[in-house]
Amino acid sequence: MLSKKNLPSACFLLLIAGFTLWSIFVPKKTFSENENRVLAQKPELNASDVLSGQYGLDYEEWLTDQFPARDRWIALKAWTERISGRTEINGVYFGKDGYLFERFMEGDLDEGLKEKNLDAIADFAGRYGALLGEDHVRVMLVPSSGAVLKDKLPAFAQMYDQNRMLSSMQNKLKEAGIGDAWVDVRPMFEENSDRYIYYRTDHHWTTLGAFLGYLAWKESLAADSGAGGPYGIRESDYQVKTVSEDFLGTIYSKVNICLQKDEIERWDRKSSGYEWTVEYNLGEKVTDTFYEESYLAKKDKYAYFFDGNQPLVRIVNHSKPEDSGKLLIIKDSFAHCFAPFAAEEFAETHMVDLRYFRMPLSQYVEENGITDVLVLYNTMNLAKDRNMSALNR
Amino acid sequence: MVFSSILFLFRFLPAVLLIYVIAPRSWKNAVLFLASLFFYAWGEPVYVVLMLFSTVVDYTHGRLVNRFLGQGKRGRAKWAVASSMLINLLLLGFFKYADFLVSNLNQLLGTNLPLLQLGLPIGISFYTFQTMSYTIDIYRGDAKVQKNIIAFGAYVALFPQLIAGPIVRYKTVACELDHRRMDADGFGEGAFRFSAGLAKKVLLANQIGILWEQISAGSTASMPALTAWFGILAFAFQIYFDFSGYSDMAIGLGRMFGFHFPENFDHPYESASITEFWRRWHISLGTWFREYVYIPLGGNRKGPGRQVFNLAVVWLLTGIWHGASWNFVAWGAYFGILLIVEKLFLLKILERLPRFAAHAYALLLVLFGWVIFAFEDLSQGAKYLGAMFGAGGSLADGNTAWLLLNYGVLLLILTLGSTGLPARLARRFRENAMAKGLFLSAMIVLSVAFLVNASYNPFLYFRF
Repeated sequence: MLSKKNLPSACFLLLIAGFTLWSIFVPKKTFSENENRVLAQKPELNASDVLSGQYGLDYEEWLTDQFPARDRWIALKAWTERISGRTEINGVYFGKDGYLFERFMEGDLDEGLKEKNLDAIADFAGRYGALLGEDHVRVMLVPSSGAVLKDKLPAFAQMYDQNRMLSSMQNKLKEAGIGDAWVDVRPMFEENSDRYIYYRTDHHWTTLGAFLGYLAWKESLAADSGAGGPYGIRESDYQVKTVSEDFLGTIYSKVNICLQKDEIERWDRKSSGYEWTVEYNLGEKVTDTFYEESYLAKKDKYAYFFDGNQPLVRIVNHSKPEDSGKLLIIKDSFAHCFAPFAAEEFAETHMVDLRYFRMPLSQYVEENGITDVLVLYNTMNLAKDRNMSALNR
Repeated sequence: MVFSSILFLFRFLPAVLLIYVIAPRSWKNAVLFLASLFFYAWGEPVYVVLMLFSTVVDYTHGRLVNRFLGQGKRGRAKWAVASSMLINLLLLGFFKYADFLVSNLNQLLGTNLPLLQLGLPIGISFYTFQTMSYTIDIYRGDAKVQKNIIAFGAYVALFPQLIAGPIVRYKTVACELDHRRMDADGFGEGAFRFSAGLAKKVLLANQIGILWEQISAGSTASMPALTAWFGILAFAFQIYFDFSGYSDMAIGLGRMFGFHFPENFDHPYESASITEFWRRWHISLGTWFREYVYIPLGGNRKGPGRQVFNLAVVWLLTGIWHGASWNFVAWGAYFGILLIVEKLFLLKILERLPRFAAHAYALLLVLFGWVIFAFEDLSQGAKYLGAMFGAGGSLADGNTAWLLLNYGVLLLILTLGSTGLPARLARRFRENAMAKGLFLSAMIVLSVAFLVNASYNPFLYFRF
């Protein structure tokens, strides 16, 4: 019945019918673990949405979002584009040594919002410098990987000039009369730029990167107090344990192809004997560790550190006397692998995520007897953040 | 609804094919009519009323023209044609040109008349032109009246060519509206053509469109000359592969259902003159204006003076048909002038030039034309043209190199794709079912990948 001549027709009908049935019968998902976002859901049928055409738009979005094997299709597209010589796909640069970089372009960012956020931080630092003392307030902005590992970017790739943003932050702090609060991580990164300080497939810094950030922060504090020296901290003081060798991060999820998976490290101070209490969201959950092992078996492995994004985390270091100070880190997720280092120094370390934290900060600082403050953000996260005005509430 | 979507490929098309095949012969036009209305209503639920109105009005006028002709009353028949054209043109004028007219009046007279702010019904320029052709063809005796309103409705709303052409004149498909067969050969040919068109739109046009979007969003004041040239080249490829891809999909879909739609593009970028370019670009529109405007005005039969006038009229209309904005008028005038100059003497000179020189001449002028076309704001277009000639102060920069590295392969594919090479390959493999099946499957699978992860999938003809 099927003559060879009809092969093209048969292919066409099989593909159309096959994909149609597959997309009808595949179970629908509410959440894409890979893309870390809620997928569109089937719109409800009602007259006004149908007449305005909104129903049609929503239905199409649902259908496309729920199309089976979505991640594999995205990978197929990315491979096709790679083969055609593209070094940028879906806003991701394919760099050297298996590095994927998020692309940030001039004009992609809302410069007004960025300036407002930097102003909010300078304002905050100025006020708390007066309140807690200048050597108790620090601001550290961490550039994204593409701005640091420039020699790994593809040839001629453009990247948003993050140095300008860092200088601007530094100047604003000076103008606010608290220039010493500025922590510049760049010299430390440049010295170590051939090391594994950023993940290849994720936008975060590695635990080593966070450690270097920690050194930069300590250096800045030490310079203030006049102590100098290597502040008594050496890499060899830490026991490094690789907890995952197959981490595929957020940048990977935009293209779904990867040349080399990432490793996640956990750094523990050798023979410290520290004992911890980690309290999430005012007692919602209490543990004795910074790490949430269950995430290592999931996609979002970076959430291994402090259970991912949380409004408020309070770390109590039982080995430190009450009077060794209380640190408040106002931060995005870059702080999650940084906080374990900082927590060693203080009796308590609090981490606040302004995206979810609704209490006035001034009240929180007062009620908890905070003695030290660190603002720690990734530059690009900060530039896009819409919650920074909460700093000065 | 557009063809290049998951919705069309894996919901609408399979449903329509299934129902169409099952339906008894006498119901097939009704299936097509209803499916087409649904197709249109998906994006424009309210404007489907307009389409029904158009169907009823033109159906009635067709019957009137036919009756008057039968009674020997040519005068009355002429009035009926005029009435049909008036209604169609009013429809088009009201929805497409009213705000353009009002805003120009306001500027000219300093008045403050309010704008209507109506959304342009998609495809209105295509279906009003098609229905006008119907009454005119009947009056001229080129087509027989359609007494079945369902069959006529199927013609007006026919979803394959509804929103982006080709403009199918009634007489072209009159016979197939009543007697057509869906057969295995035609279906296979249609499916192949459709898949190739889909790939042209999704894999080529959309991709190079991203390059144009990127470049045209940049500031022209400091744009290196080469970047500007890349940009307009990208736009030229985008609009060609998008538009001809749509036409391929339309022709392919028509073929699956047993229709033979006219070809709309014939490798226009291979042309060696502007005259030739317009014989190869959007052929169905050119044919329409020739048949229903240029020739009735007297064409070239009333002396060179009148011919120049006729050409001017046709090209101003062609320009403004593409959108209610001065840049489209300018674009039409630009080509009108070039065509007149070619007709008067330039063609003879071009014929004596080496082929590559004539080809370069035509391509350059077409590219300049696209600059006028691409920028609604004429002064923006002028600035872009300036950038192409070095007003940006440099020849190239790092970004130019990056664009070339990233899009070089695609530009090469597009260049080869605009020549007759793919058609020659297709002919070579015409009898090779295996090769065709593989190609078709690859195109569909890749297109699905690009549709599922579509960051950029524009519909370029919303202004037509």
